[in-house]
Amino acid sequence: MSDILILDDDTELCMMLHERVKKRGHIATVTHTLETGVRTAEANSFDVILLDVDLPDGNGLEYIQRFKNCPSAPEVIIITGQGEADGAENAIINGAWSYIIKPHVIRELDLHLTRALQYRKEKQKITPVPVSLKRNRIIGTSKGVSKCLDQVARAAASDVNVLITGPTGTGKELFAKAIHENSERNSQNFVIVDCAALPETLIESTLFGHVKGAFTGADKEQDGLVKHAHQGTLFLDEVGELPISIQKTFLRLLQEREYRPVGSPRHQFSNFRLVAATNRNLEAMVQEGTFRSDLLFRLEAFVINLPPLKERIEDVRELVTYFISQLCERYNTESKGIAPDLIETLSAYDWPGNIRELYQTIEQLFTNQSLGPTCFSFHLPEKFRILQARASVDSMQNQPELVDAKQNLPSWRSYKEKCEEEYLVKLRSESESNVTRACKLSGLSRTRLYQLIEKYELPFS
Amino acid sequence: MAWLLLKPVMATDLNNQENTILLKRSAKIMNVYFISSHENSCQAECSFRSCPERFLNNLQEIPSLPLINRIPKTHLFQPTMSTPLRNGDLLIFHAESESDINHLIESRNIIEQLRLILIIGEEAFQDSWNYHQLNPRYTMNSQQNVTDLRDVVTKIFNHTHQETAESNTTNQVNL
Repeated sequence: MSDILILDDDTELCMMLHERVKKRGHIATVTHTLETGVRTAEANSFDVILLDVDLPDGNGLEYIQRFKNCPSAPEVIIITGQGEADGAENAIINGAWSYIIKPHVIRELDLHLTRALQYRKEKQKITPVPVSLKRNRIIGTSKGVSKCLDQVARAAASDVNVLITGPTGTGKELFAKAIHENSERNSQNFVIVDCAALPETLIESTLFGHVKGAFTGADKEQDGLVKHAHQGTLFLDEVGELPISIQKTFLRLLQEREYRPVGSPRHQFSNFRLVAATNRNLEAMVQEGTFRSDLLFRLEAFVINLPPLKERIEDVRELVTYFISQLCERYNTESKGIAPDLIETLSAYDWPGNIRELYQTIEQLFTNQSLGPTCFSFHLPEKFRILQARASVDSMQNQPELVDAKQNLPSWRSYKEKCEEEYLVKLRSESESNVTRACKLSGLSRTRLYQLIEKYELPFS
Repeated sequence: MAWLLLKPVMATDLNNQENTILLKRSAKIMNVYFISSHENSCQAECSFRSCPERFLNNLQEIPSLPLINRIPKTHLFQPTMSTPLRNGDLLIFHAESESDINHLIESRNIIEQLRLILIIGEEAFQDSWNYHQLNPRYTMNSQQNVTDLRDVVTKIFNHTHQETAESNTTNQVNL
C-alpha cells in the first residue's frame, strides 16, 4: 500500500483517479492547486505525485523539483491534456518519472504507477553513496550540523530556490556559500545582496543596474548584481529587510528571470540560482502584512534551518580548537593547548550571539596578555569567570543537605528521593508543566516521567 | 590602537550587579575602519572626485557613527596581535586598480571574518567582477555619489546595533 497525491484542477478526473488508485489498494489524497499541493506534500509523506501541468496558480512542470525535494522525496508522474513532445522532454529533464497524456491516463496509469513504485522500492534498498562535500569552514559534527550539511548536499545537487533561516551569528552566509561551491555553478560568481545594508533608494539600481541618465548622478550605464550573478548564485542576505515596494519587482524576477535596468525600456535575462537567508520569522511578517506571501512561497522551496549554538553545544570544543588554530596562523604564533576548564566554561554559556560571539570571545582570549602556551578559562573575559564562579556557588547551594540537623548521614534512598523530587520541581517549572517538553529536556521516557510524577504527586498538565 | 567600546562595561561594575546584568554583552557594536591602497593620501581639501580622503572625510562627518579610523594596509596584510581588526568589524577598502583587488583576493582569508565595503576605481569596477570573490556587502564605483556610501554605512551600523540589542534582550529573557 502506497500514498499517492493527485494534483489536478479537473475535479471529475480527480475523482476517477482517486477511485482507480484506491482500487489498487493505495491511499489517495486530492488537491487542486499548486499552493495546497506543495503544502500537503511538505507536511505528509507520499510515494508518488500525479501532477497536472496547467494549474490555476502555475505550471506544474516548474514545480517538479520542489515536489521531489519534499521530505518523502516522491516520484512525480506528469498528467497533461496537451500531448507535446517539448512538454514531455521538459518533464523528464526536470526529473519527472514519466509523462501520461490525459485521454489515456486511466488506461496507462496502472503500468506507470506500478513501475514508479517498484523503482522507489528498489531505490530505498540502496545505501546512499556518501558525497564528498566541501564544508567551507563549517565546523562541527553534532546532529544539528550534520542534518544541515545533508540538506546543503541535496540543495547543491538541484537548482531549487533555498531559504536559510536561523538566529544571527549561526553562519547563514557560510552555508549559502557551501551550497554554491558544491553546485554546478561554482565556477561562476557568488553575489551577495545585503538587504540590511541597502537603503530603499539604492536597492533597485544595485540589483538591476541603470542606464545613463536614469537619475541624477547616473553619468554612465552600470550593470546590476542580478547580471553579475548570471550562471552563478545570487545570495539575498537578510531577505526580511527587503522593502515591500521592491518585493513585487523581485517576485517578477524570480518568476521570469527577467528584469529591466532602471531607466531602460528593454528587459534583460539572468540565469541565476537564488539562495536567501533571514533571522526573521517570515510567516509572522506575512501575517503582519510586511512580507508578500507569494514571494515567501517562491523562496521557501527548500528550507535549511540552522540551529543556535546552544542547541549544538557539543560542537564548542571543535569550534574553539579551529578558531584558536586560525588565530595562531594569522598572528604567526606557536600553537596553543586548550585546558578542559575552558571548554567547560564556554559550554555552560547560552551564546545568544551564537558562533560569531564565540569567535569574538576567543579573539579576546587570544589578545589576553597573560596567555601562555595553554588557554585556560582564566584567560577568558571577566564576565565568563564571574559566571563560572556564580554557577559553582549556586550548584553547591542547591545540593540537598548531606547531613540532617542531628549531623546524621541520611540513607541512600532518602537522599536520592530528595534529589529526584527537587529535580522534578525544577523540570516542571522549566517545561511549564508540559510533559513532552519535560521529556525532551530531561531525556526521561514518558513512562518514567509519569512514574515519577505519581510518586512525588507533582501534577503536570 | 584601542577598541572602540560604546558604553563599556567595567569589571568593577560587574561585581556589583545582578545575574541578568552580568551576562549582558559589552556593547561593542562594530568598529569601522578605512583602508586605502594608496598609502600617501592627499590633503583633506582635495577636490578630486575619486580621492579616498573624500570618502573618509564624508563618513567621519556622520554624527551617529563611531569614529572611523584610517589604518595602514600593513594592518591587514601583516597582522600583529595589536592589529585592531576583529570579527564582525566593518572594513571600507578603497582599491584604485584591478591589481589592488587581486592582491586582496590572494589574501582573502584575512578578511573572511570582516564585513567588507569596496570602493573601486572606475576602470576596475567596469571591467572585472572578480571582486565578488571577496564577498563584499556593498561595492561602489569611486566616481559614485558619496552619499550612497554614507547611507549604506549608516544602515549597516543601525542594523547591527538593533541586532545586538535584540540578542541582549534574548539573553536576559533566557536567564
